[in-house]
Amino acid sequence: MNMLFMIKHLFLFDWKLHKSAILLPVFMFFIVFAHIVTASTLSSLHVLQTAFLPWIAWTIIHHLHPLFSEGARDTLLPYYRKWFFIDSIRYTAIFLSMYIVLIAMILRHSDTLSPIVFIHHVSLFLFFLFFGMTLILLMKNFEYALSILLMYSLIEIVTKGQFMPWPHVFQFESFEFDPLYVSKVGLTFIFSIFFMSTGLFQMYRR
Amino acid sequence: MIELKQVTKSYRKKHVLHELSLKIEGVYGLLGPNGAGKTTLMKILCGLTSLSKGDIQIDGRSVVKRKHADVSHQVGFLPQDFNIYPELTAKDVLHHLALLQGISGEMERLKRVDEVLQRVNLLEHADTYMRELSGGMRRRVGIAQLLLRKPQILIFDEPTAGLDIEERIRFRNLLRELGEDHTIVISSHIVEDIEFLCTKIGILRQGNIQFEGTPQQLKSKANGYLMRTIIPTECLSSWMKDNRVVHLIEHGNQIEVRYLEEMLQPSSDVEPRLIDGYLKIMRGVQ
Repeated sequence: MNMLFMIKHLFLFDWKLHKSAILLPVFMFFIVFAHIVTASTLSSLHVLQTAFLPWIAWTIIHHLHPLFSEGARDTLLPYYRKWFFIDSIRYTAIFLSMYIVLIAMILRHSDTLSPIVFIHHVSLFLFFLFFGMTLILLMKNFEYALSILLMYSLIEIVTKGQFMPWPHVFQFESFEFDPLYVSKVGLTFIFSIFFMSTGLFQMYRR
Repeated sequence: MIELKQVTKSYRKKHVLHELSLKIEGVYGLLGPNGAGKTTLMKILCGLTSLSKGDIQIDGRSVVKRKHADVSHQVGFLPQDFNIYPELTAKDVLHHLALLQGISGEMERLKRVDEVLQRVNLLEHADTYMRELSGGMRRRVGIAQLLLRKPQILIFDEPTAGLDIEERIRFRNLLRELGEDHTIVISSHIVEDIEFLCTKIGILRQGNIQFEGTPQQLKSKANGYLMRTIIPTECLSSWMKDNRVVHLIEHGNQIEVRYLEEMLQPSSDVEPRLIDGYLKIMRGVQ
């Protein structure tokens, strides 16, 4: 009961602190949902991975942003460290709920999806969660972190993962099980682990 | 009492603190020029920074675990600039921090928040946004959030820097009151504040301790070195170029100049102030 109360408080606090900015991922959920209702499976999966999953980075960047107000770090960091696990779980729970609805809508059209698609989505979620976390902790600046995140995502989407020798995490071909797709998912997962290590190191080092 | 034993902190083979041994009790003032290692020492004391070598004991028990002081329940640290959640009210900030500290019962939280706001004399500003509070008030919110978890040791980095005179006096009085039931460590450039507040003083320079003792002992370091002379106002400019001058006191169109000599002056009859003792030690080192 206490934990539920605390989680409710934490969400209300997010709302008080970030106002409508924290609801942008929910707004994007409705847009993606509206698209999925009418689009093909292929198009729905494209939109789901590029227009919905990356928003976890937006959420985590907003969450960690108060650490970098002048004079806040020394006071807030011990609390953010202590609560990071709970915070990650609650954001994951929200994204997972929305994801389940979107996937259910997609599955309405097609009987089945290859398991690699789900593994890819999990790696994408982890990639953007820890990429966002690493960006804000390294940059120590909200605007820079968001700019880099948006720049990376937009360039990847516009060039369909053909530009710059950096990790190409989105899939723009078919979503069938094939070695190229598997290697992309593997790479995304490896980069998630890399960003997780970097982010957690930045967060917990003293 | 906090006891530091041979505490060393190094960054890239350079000692920021070098085998520092201190006995911190009462209201303890840390003095020293910029870069002396005061803030590093404070961050080590509250566990925000690791130490390279040495030990820290609180009431005789070592609190160092894996090169960090594990003191989150005993020690509260207020940094020089305290500016969190500017878009929220002081009360909202304290409620949130109380919850993060583990005070989950709503009634208990409300009571504790009111208590600490009362203690720092901010009850009437409870619903004011943090961004609208003055620097001193924000620091008082900072103290309030420390008091929520009832630490026995409070550490303040330059607590009165940048405050206007009224706010500085108010803040100083609050620290003095807190000193009655807490061990307090204060770093400051303002010797007057240290003189007003502290029962014991440590002087740091380039990571080494130069002095530790009572304010009276620090003053006595300048005994016999302080001289005075009365000059007409017109001669002031030539005296101002003299680095020995430590005080100027106006008496009508004459000025009393107090200056600190390097050598002991048997004829000296001037009662030293804390700043004279501090300067004597710092110049002696140079």
